[in-house]
Amino acid sequence: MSAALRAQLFLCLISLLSGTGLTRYIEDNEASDGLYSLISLAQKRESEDFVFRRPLRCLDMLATEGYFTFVASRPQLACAAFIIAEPSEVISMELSDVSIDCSAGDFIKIFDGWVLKGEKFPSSNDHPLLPHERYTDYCSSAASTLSGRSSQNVAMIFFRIHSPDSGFTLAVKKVHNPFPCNIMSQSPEGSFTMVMPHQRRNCSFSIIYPVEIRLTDLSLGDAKSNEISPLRQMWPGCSGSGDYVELLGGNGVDTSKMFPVADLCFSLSGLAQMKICCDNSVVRLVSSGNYINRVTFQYRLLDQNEIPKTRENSLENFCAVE
Amino acid sequence: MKPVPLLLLLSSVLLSSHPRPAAGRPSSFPGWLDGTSRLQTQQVDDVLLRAATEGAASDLVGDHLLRLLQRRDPDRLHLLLPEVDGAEEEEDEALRTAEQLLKRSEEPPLSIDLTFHLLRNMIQMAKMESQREQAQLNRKVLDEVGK
Repeated sequence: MSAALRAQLFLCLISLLSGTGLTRYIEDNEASDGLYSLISLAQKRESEDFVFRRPLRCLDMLATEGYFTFVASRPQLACAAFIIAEPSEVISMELSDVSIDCSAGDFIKIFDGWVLKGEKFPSSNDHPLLPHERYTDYCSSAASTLSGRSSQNVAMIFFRIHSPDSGFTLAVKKVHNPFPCNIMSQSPEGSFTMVMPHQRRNCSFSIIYPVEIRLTDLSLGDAKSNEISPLRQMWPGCSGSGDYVELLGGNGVDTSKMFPVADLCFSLSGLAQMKICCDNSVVRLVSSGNYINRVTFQYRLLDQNEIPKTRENSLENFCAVE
Repeated sequence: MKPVPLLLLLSSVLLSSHPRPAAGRPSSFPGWLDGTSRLQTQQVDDVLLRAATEGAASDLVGDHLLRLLQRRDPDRLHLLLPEVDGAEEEEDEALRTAEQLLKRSEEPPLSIDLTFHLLRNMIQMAKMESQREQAQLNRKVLDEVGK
């Protein structure tokens, strides 16, 4: 045979053999192995194994996503559950399996924010909704379920149930919020950067501890440069119109009832620190909407020996720390 | 001039110039209802009366409402008409607005009197529960992947 014919025959033979050749393979009967499990993780989260469920108590604090079921064993007339999320999240709530008797005086109300000792956080000045719009009442809504989304990282639910074995299930989900405004901190130590892009809003970062706050970066005004331009220093004052940061201290959660401890009207790239010896310490960014404002700060808990027991200067003691 | 046409003319002039009795209520409802000014205030009043007397609101609110309506138009309080003329949709809308008004006026000042100390402890416990739950979730996920 000629070389070309042989080559062709060999090629043909090789291709035939590769077609009928035995290859080793791993039988993959279970669909949940290996990489496939990673891909279907999102679907798995919806399945029973990964959903957090627990009973809801009459006075409760929820920091996780999940399903919380309340069943009244006896008449419960004043119950509330606080819900808190991370600073850059908002809370989405949904009621289901509700079996209460509205005509007997039962109610379930969702509040956009927290109410503590009659004071609201965020305050009425800082919240986009009117005070009565922040309540969503199950009994006065026509639908059989109630859902709502908070405007900040805290929300709460009030409920009153008279008859035993009535109850409801609350589903809590967290939704990412790219520009958080009005934040309640979960811990006494940490750091945060608050950005307000061209919005006319006042945002508060509330820390319910006596803390030392260090502002490490403050950019008020034009975002193109952090240089302090002489013109900006000629603002009439911090509490006039304009953009500024103020530090507040007080004993309640309502920022409009707290006392200003310090305010800063111009950008700084150095360090400014302040100890606020009050039960609630707040960093508040006031924005006119003309600029992009950014403030970065750290905070740490004050020890008992750092809190002055007696005032040595003439300032009034406006915070009585426990 | 003939007396009859003159009489007719005079009587017509007198009748046409007779002033209509002015409505005793303001043209618009109190400030909170300005958004829904399409409604006729008459129907809302009727519905409010019905709601207040049927006890849809708490007794105290009912008293307040009755007193308010009495001040504005005392005669109508005695009518208590069970049915109102008009289309049913208008009545439903009026009913909804009345419910809104009642809800706003009876908005309970719900509040919990927790001290900051208790609130801080509750937040700490909730954070620990959240971390425990996250750890368990991580363990489950890693078990799944590692099979």
